[in-house]
Amino acid sequence: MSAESVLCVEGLSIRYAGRTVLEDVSLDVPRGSVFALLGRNGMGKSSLVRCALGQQKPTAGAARLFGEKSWTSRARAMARVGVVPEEPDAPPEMTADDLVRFCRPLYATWDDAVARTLLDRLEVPRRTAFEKLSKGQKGAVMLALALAPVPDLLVLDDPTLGLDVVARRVLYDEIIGALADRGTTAFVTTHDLAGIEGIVERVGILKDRRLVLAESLETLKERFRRIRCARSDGGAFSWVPFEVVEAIERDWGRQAVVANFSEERLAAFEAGAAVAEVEVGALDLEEIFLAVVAPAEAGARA
Amino acid sequence: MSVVWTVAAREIRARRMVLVAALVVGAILSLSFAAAVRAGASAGDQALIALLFCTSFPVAIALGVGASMVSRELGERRLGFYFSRPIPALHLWAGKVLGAAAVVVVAFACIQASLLFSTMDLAGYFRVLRVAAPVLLFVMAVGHVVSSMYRARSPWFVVDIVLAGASIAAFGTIVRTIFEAGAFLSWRFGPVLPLLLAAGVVALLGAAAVQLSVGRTDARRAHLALSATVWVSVVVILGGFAAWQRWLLGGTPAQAGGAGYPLIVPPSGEGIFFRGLTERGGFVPFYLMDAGSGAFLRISPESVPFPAFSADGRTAAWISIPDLWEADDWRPRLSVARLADEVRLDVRMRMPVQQEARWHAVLALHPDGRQAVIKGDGAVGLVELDTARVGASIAQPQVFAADVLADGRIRLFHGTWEHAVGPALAVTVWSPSDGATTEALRVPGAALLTRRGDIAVVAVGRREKAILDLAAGTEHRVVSVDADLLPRALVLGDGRLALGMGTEVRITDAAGTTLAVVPLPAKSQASALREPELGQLAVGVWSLALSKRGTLFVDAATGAVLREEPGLLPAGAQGQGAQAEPGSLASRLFTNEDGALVALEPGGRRRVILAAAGSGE
Amino acid sequence: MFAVDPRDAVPVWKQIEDGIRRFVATGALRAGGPVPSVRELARDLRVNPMTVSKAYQRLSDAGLLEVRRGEGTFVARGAPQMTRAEKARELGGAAGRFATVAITLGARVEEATSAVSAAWRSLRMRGEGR
Repeated sequence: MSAESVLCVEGLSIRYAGRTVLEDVSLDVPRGSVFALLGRNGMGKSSLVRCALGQQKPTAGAARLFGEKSWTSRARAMARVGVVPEEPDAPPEMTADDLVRFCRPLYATWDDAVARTLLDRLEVPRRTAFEKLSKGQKGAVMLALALAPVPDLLVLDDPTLGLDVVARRVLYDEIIGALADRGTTAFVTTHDLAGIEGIVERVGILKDRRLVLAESLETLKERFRRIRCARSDGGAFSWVPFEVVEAIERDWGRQAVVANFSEERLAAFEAGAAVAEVEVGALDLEEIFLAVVAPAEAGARA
Repeated sequence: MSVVWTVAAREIRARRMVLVAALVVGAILSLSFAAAVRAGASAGDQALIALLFCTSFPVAIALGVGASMVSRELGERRLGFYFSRPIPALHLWAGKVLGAAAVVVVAFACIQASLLFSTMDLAGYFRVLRVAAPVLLFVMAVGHVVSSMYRARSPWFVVDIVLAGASIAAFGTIVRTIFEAGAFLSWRFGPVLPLLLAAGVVALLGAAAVQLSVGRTDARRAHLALSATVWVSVVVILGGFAAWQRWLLGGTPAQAGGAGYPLIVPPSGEGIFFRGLTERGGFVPFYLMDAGSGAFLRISPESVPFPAFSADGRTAAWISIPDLWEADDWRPRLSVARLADEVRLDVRMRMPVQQEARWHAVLALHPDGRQAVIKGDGAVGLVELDTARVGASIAQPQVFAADVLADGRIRLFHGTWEHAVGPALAVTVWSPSDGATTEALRVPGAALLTRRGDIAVVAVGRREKAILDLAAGTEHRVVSVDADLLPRALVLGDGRLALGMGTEVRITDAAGTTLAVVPLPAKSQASALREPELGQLAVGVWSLALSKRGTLFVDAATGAVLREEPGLLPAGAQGQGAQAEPGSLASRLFTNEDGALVALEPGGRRRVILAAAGSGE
Repeated sequence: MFAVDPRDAVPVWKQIEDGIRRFVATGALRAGGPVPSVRELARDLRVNPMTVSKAYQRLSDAGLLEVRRGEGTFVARGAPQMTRAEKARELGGAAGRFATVAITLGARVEEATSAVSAAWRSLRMRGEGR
């Protein structure tokens, strides 16, 4: 945990009545950075978010906000945090105007213009009860309520869920704006990997109840490659010295996603036995994610 | 702090419709009440239905509001809205409780206001509000707790149900014990009931605070926190209630502070039946006590029994009306207490008596110890003490006393009415074996003062007494110059009589001839006559001047005053039993200057039977 | 403007840096003229402003861009103010990368050189077309 840590969890485990959701997860989000937590549905992302925000007590481990334990300093910390939950949870009978009026006095740094602009951009009717808004409009309201306090930390739990293309664009615009203008820190869980790819700096991937990866996207992209080579006749084949994440074998040849690519290793591989027509391709975030959590075939590790 | 008001305001606005509905219902009820008032008594049904609304509607609102206060949002996972914002859990709780309470109370006020139109009693309206508001808040809190526990969908709900049942049973047991002891009034009107209600409200709403603080968005954890707090509080509150109940019913005769009204003592033996003087939490029970061993039985004041004692004072029996919860069986209840082993009272309580007539008192106990003479509406009967079965009975109205004679016949003292003469006192002998009745004598305008064996003394008017020989059927009159305020008479051990006649006490023979006279101080009368030891007459002197009240001890043969003990007064003995035997406890019971009940022992020593209030016994 | 390819092995900041360089080279961004602010470019490209910042910082260090306080970021007026050594290093590095590609394609030096000339001409043409 660095001194600049805005959000961190240490050894976090969450268990419900015999079922383990998360086991020994640790991650750290430094100030000004954007962290994306990725994982398939049911991998405990939302539970982790709730623990991080002090809304739920973990079975083991701790969560901290701005250096203080989330569970005990929740109310104080929330003054600096804007939260967009996975499910819009505003009181159903309140209108957008009511909600703004309700939230405004809670924050010292509330900026009405932010809320107003966003609601106008997304054409959210101000005097309609929350329960009667469309899914996208509800999401817009939650986003407005999260951004208007000009928070130091944005926590977005699957923010694009239910948003149409335009709304998604507006969402990312606003996030980037906040990043640019105020150096806001962001912690995002999402399934829209393509959308978040440009913005995120650090990536964490949850698989089988554990955090199997937590590193910068840049290093991730440096070390993950797809390598294709033609079938060769005779001779034993091996992907060594690569660390293979997933490998397939077809008539036209062999292909593997490797996690430790470097030029030296490529040279060593090519020099190795009987490989021809080696093609190396980079992977985008979605492809890396798929390779990590759902490899195509149980990798034929040579 | 403004967070609290913001949250409360939201809660109220979210329930606008409830308030509107309450206003509408209140308006409708007003009209119906006004119509009922105009129609007069014939609209009683309409008024009853409307009154039912006035109570059930606010209760339903309280339950509904309570159920939706927190648990609905918790169950629908919408509490995250608050917890994602800088709102401390306790502020959230306070705002929600305030908002919900405001809706409940205002809705009730609207509905209750409908009654104002008919009663026009503003002070009464506010009084009802003040009393009902805590009750409705309690209902609201219960609605919240039950709804939270149910919605959590946890297997622990079963535990909650079991504990709830146990709590209600425990509470009911404590209340029932209070009822059965006859202390209902002190529970109902004392501070304990409001305290329990307040404690309940605080406990349940406090549990909601814990639920929000500890559980936050996690419904399961919230349920556990709520349940733990609720049940611990319930145990504490019930424990306190039980402790109060034990204190309330834990009084002993020693703490009774002396004997109040009534005080009934058998002709011989050490039994005493009395009601205490000091209250405990507003509760003043009756005690049946054996003065020798100290063994005692507490009897509910609701029963209002006047027991009859056996001649030796070791058995007492009385009849009481059934309690409300025995209402399926309206038969009167017979209770019998026997002094066994000199220390223990063997009690058979509340046996239903067969219902031929409405039996309401035991008059006398049969010397065989197995039967008692009971009286009912216009009837007299013999009841078996072991089984409460009524054996023989006859119709005989206005019986107020009875003696069982040596041959088993029953001597009944009753009133009659003679045409052109008016009321008279009559003595009839009933033979239960064959049902025959014989009238022994009757004296018009007479009131029975005392009787011992075959001698009885009655007062006829203010200045005349009659000495009756019940066996021979004769009567002798004695007249005084001064009027009696308090007619008193005593049959002495040697067969002579002491009669309080105006400002003096006359000692006469069986025929009424004066043998000696004991003058009393000016402006005083004899309030009681006793024979504490054979041949010694104790005269209780009642005077307007407090300082002159006391007892004169007189030689029964000569009428000479032996000594005077100011402040000491013979203890009153109510009931219609036979006169106390000379030297028995009944003859020696006095109250001293402090109000303690004492027994004069031979040699002048005073044995304290019941200490006075405030004296550390 | 230009687009950023997430599938490219080249890091995003490098793609942005190269993109700006290309635009300056073609004259799409005039010397002395403004470049999009970090915020604007980040929003257009849907990338983290820090990434744009990094690219701009490198370009600024290389002398291609200059930051004027209170006014924004602009293309440098003259040629990049670099020392001969720095210029030689940059040129050598770019040449090395080009040469690697050419050799692995199996091209001969003459083919490679004529490709360079053709690209040079095309960029210049595009720039003069303004």
